[in-house]
Amino acid sequence: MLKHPLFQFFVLLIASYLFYTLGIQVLSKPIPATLVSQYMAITLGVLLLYMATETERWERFKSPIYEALIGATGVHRMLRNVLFVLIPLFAGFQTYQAVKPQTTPPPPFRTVHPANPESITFRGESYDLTTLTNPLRAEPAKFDEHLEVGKKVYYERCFYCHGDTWAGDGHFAKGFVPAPAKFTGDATLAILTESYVFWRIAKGGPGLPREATPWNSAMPAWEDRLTADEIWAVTMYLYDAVEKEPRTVLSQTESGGH
Amino acid sequence: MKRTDSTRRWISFLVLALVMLSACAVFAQVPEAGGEYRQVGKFSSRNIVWIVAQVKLMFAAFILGVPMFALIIELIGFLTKEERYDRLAREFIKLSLIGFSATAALGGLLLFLIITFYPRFWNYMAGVFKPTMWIYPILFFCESFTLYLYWYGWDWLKSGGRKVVHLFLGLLLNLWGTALVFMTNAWATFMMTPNGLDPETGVVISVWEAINNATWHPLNIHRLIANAVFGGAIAGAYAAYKFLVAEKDEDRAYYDWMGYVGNMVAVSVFLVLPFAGYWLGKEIYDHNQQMGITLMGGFLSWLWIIQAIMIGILFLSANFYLWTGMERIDGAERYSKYIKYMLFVLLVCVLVWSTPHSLVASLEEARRMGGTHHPLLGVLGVMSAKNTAVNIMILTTFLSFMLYRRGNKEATVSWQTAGLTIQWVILGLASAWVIYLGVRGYFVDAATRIGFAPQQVLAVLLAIIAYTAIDFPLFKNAKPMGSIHWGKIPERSQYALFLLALTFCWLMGLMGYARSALRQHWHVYGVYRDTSADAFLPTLGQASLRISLSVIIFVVMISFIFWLGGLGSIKEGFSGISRRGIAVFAKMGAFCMVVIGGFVYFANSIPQVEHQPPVEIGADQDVWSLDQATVSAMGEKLFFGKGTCGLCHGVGTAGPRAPDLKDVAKIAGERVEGVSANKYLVDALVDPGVFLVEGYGNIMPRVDKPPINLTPQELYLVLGYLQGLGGGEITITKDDIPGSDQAAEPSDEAPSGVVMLGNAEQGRDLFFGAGTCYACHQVDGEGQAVGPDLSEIARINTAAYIYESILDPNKVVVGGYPPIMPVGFGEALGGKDLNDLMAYLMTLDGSGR
Repeated sequence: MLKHPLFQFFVLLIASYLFYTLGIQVLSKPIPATLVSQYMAITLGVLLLYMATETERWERFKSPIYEALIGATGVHRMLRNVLFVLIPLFAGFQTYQAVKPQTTPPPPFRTVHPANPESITFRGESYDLTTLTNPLRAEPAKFDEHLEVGKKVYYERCFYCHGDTWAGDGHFAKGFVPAPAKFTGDATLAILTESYVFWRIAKGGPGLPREATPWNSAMPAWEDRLTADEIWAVTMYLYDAVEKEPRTVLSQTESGGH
Repeated sequence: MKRTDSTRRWISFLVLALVMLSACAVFAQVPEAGGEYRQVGKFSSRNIVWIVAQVKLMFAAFILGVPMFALIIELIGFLTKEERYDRLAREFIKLSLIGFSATAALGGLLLFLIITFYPRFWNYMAGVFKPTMWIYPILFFCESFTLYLYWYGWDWLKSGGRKVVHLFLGLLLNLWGTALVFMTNAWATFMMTPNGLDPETGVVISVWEAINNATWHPLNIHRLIANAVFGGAIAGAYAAYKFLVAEKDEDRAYYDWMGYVGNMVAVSVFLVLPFAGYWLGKEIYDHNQQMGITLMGGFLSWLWIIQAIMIGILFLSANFYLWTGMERIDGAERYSKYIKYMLFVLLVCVLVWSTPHSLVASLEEARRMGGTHHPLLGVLGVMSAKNTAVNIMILTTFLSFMLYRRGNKEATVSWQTAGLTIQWVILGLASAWVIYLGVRGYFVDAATRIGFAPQQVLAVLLAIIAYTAIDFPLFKNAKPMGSIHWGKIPERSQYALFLLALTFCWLMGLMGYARSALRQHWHVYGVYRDTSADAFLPTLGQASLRISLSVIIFVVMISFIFWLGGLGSIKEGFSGISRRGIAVFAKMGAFCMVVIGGFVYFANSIPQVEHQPPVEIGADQDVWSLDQATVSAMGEKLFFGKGTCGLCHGVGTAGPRAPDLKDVAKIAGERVEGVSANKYLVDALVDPGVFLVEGYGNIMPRVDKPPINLTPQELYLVLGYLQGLGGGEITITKDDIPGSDQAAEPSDEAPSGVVMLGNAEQGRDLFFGAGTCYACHQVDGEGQAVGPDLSEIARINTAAYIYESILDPNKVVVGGYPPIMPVGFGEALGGKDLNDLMAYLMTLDGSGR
C-alpha cells in the first residue's frame, strides 16, 4: 500500500498543497489562491510525468484506475456508483462557487508597473523620463539638507497613507484599494529609477496610462502642490529611508546602429 | 513523373508570387488610391494579416530549419559512414520540397493582403526598402534552384569526393536561406527600431542604416537558432507519428531513432536560445527604455509568465523523453534512481520561473500578504531568480543527456573513479556559482546585476565543455553492457516529442506577438503611427486564440504534407489511408486540442488588459464617432485646460465673469426664438457677442481663434461635454461645427505669441508704479481687487481687446464690476509706455500662479 505509486501520487500531491498553503504561511505570509492553483497545476503535471517515466511504475499507477472503471466485482461497481454521483456533484459545486454572489471584490487583474511615458509635462516644462536624473544628487555637499526637506515633505504629505515605516501602512491605508505602495522590500523602489518615482509622485493616480486600468489609485497628482525640487527631495529621502539605491539607467547607446 | 509534377506546381506558385510582386510595384505608383486602410466586410484586417503572417512564418521556419537539420544529419552520416543518416536527411529534404510551395503561396497571400489592407503603409515600406525588394526574389530563386540541385543530385553526387560537393550544396542552400531570413528580418526590425531616417522629416537617408538597425542582428541570431530548433522538433514530431503508425519492427526501430535524433538536435540547440533572447531584450531596452518596460514590466509582463510555463513544458518533456528512452538501453536502469532528484530540481526551477512578480490577489489576500508583492516569493519574480532557474534547468537537462549516453557503457580506463568525481565536481561548482551570482544579484545595483547574467551563462557553457571533454576519453573504450534496442521505447514517450513540437509552434506564435505588440500603436515605432481601428493591442487571452488558430492551421497543413510525403513511397509499403493511421491521427489530434486548450485556458486566467493607443486630439483625428463617455472626458479636460473656459465660466456655480453653464444644453434651445440648440451653442463659441446674457459684458473671445485656437475637433468635444452635463445626449454633429469639413491644415495665424514692440519689464514697473493700475487690478495676488484680476488676461483675450480696454474702458465692462475705470489713459500714457504696458500684459498667461 505505502509503496503503491497511486498512493504515493496522492500523498505527494496533498503534501505539496499543504506546503504551498500552510508551509509558506508558516515561513512567511500566505500566498494568494491564484498562485496556489498555478503551482498545483505544475506539480500535478510533474507528478504524472514522474509516474510515467518507467513503464512498470506507470502500469501499476494506472491499474487501480482501470480496475475501478472496468472491474466486475461488487466493490468496483459500488465505487463506480459513488464516482458517478460525486463527480457531477463536484462539478456542480465548482459551478456554484463560480457564480454565487460574492461580497468581496474579485482579485483585480492589472498591470502593477505600467510603463512610464517617454516624456511628461511638469508645470509647463517638458521632462524626458528616459534620460531624467535627480538633479539634487549632483550636489553631494547639500545631501543632508535635501534629505531634511524630503523628510518634511514626507511627513506633511505622504506619511498618512504610506506610513511611518514606509511600508504602505499609514493611518489611512486601510481605506484604499489598491493599498498605498510599500516602499520597503525589493519589489518597488529598489527596482525603479528615480525618474519613474518622480513621474508617479508628480502625476499620481490620474496620470496612470490607460493600460494600467482598472486602477482606482487614490494617489493624488502632486504636480500642483509640490515643486520639482520638493519631489526630488522626497524621492531622495525615501531611498535613504528604506536603505536602497535607485536603479540606474542602462547605458544609453545611440538610437539604432552599431 | 511525380517529380516533374511537383516541379511544375512549385514553379507556378513562384510565378504567382512574382506577379504579386509586380502588382505591388503598380500599387506603389498610386499611393492615394483607396486611402490608408481597407478591410473585407467586418473582418479585422489586422487579425487576418496576423494569422496569415504567423502561418507563413511557421512554414518559412520549417523550410529553413529542415535544411539546417538535414545538413547536420548528412554531415554526421558522411563522417560516421552510416547509411541511415543519409536516408534521414533525404527524407526530410523531400518534405521541405513540398513545404516550399506552400511557403511561397503563403508569402504571396501575405503580400497581397498587406497591399490590399494597408496600401499606404506598404507604399511607405516599399519606398524605404526599395532596393531590397528586388534582391529578395533573386535570393528566393537562388535558394530554390540550389534546393533542386541538392535534392535531384543526391544520387548523382553520392560517391566519394562527389559527396563533398553535395554537402557544399547543402551549405549553400542554408546560406541562401539565411540571407532570406536576414532580409525579411531587416524589414521587421526596422518597424520596431527604425534607423537611417532623417529625425526632422522622416525621410530615408540610408537604406543600409535602415537595414542595420539596433535589433537586426539580435533577431537574426535568435531566429536562426530558433529555426534549427524548430527543424529538429518538427522532425521529432514527424518521427513520432510514423513510429506510432508503423507496423513493422524495422520501421519502428528506424522512426524511434529518427525521433531521438530530432529531439537531440532540437534540445541541444535550444539550450542556447535563452541567451539569444536576452541579447534581443537587452538591445530593445538599450534602444528605448520605454519599449523595454512595456516588454518586461508593463503591458506585456504577463506574457512572460505564459512563456515560462511553456519553456518549463519544453524542458520537462525533453527530459521525460530521455528518461523513457533509457528503457531501450540495457544497463541504463542503474541511472533511474537519479530521475526523481533531477525531476525535483526541474520542478523547483519551473515554479521559480513561473512565479509572477506582482501577484493576482484579492483585497483580503493582499492585506494578509502586505501588498501586491509577497515578502518571500516576490523575490522570485525578478530577473536574478529567473536566470538562475533557467541555467540550473539547462545543467539538469545536460546531465540527463549524459546519463542517457553512458546508459550501456561501463568505463574501463584506469582513472575512471577520478574522472567521474571530477565530472560531478564540475557540475556542482557550476551550479554553486550560478546560484551564488543569482543570490548576489539582489545586493547589487541593476547595472552590475545585468553583468551577472552572461557570467552565469559562461559558467554553464564552460561546465558543459569541460564535462564533455572528460566524457569522451572516459568512455572511449568502454565495455558495452548491452545494446540499444531501437523501437523498444514506450508509446507514451512519442507524445512527449509531439508535445515538444506543438509547444515550440505555440511559443513561436507567442513570441511573435510579443515582438509585434512591442510597437504598440505604431506601424514603425515612433515614426509611422497606426491610425486604423486595429491600433490597439488585444488582451493576452484574445491573442492566445489567434495564436492557437495559426498553430492549428499550420498543424493541419503540415500533417497533409507529411501524408503526401508518404504517398510518394507507396510502393515501399505505405498504405495511403489505413485504419491504424486514422486512429493515431485522431488520438494525436485530440492530444493537440487538449494541449492548445490548456494554453488558451491559462492565457485567459491571467490579467486581461487591452492596450489602447493614447488619446490626443490631432487636427486630423476622427472624434465624431467617439462614444459619449470619451467625448465628455476629453471635453472636460479641454474646458478646464486649453479652452480656458473654466477661468470665467462655472459649472454648477456662477463663474467670476460669465454665466453658469450647468444647464446650458437645456437653455440653449429655448433662449432665442428660431435658433436651434446646436446652432446656439456653436455660435456662442465662434461669435460670442451674438447671444449675450444680460448682466454680462461682451468680453468673451472667439475660442476658434488665437490665443485659444480650438480646432473643430476640440470645439466638438467641448460642446459634447456641455451637452452631456445634465445627463443629456450629444446631438452636435460634425456638420454643426464650422471648418470641420475642410482638410486639416495648420492655421496661418500665429498660434499665440503676438509680437509686442514694448519692454515687458518696464511695462511691469509702469503697472505697479506710475500707471497706478495695481490700485484696482490684481496680478498674481498683488494689487487691489476692485476691477478684474488680470493674472491670466493673455490666455483669455486678444491683444486687440486689451488695447481697446485701456483706451476705451467703458466700451466693454466685465459683468459684476463697476464701470469706474478712468477714461483718458490713452492721452496720459505715451506711445512707448502703452507699448511697454501691453508687452507686460501679454506675458500674463497664468504661469506665475
